[in-house]
Amino acid sequence: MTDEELINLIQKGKQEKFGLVIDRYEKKLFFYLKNLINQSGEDVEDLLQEVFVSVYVNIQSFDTQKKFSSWIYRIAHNNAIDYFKSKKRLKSESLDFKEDYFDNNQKLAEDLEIETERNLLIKKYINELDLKYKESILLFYYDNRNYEEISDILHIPHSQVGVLLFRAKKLLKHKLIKLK
Amino acid sequence: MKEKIMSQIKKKEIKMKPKWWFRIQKIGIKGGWILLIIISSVLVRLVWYLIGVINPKELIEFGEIGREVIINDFPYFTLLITISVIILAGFIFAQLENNYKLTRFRIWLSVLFAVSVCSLLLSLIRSFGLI
Repeated sequence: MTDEELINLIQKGKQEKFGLVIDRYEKKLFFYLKNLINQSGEDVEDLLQEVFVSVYVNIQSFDTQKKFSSWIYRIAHNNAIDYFKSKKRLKSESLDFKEDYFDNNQKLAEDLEIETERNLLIKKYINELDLKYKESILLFYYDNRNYEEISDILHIPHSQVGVLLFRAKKLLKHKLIKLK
Repeated sequence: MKEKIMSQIKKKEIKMKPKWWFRIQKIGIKGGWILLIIISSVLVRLVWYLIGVINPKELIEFGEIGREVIINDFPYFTLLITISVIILAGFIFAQLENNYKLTRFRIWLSVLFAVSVCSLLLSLIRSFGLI
């Protein structure tokens, strides 16, 4: 059953099916939010719970002709923004990147023209980027979203996605060159 | 976490917002945008009319005095209100449906086009003596 078919059932009253939505997206969204807000597992879990509650409460607004994954990520993005606004100067906690779900991203290493082994270093620098650049990198390289999906998630024009990725990679390359 | 959320759903501690709520929101925003376009068009025509009343073409011929009259009588406030309403219409247009996919240039072009078309329609309606 596709996500859209599942949501259609939930919209028609089969609320018990919402558990399947949680099963499908819990892990993906956990690591997306963890990389985005750069905080401990507990904070991420609280935020993730808020995301699923928002999804359930607003599920009737979802158009089943569109892609559900982009919609749920959009809600996660909005909740993350609210989180940042409410906790403005929260210190970033150092994360153990070895436990990260997204492992050895060759595509990003190739685009940055560096060795794949330096991926852990890349992730450190990704965390230092501004939110808009960080999100575009996470969604494109770690969540394997295409430009269309990123445009839907971040609510920006298609062309701007390319610009954000280009600038993000430029910033990362600059940091890596400085390190050398 | 799944059990907690499903339990909240079963106990109706969290409820879905009804579909009609979102439909009304959509209609409200679209309706609001259309209303802003109409108001913008009326204001544009009003600014045009007030500038016409001053008749700057004739006043320019009077030199410095004419220019002073234009500067003093120019409908600044009406123009400011008009621009503000058009800007508001632009912001609301950007929030409609999938309009986030449009570049800023296309958004403003669309809004200005809508205002122009509406102004033209208003002047046609007026010329037929309907208003």
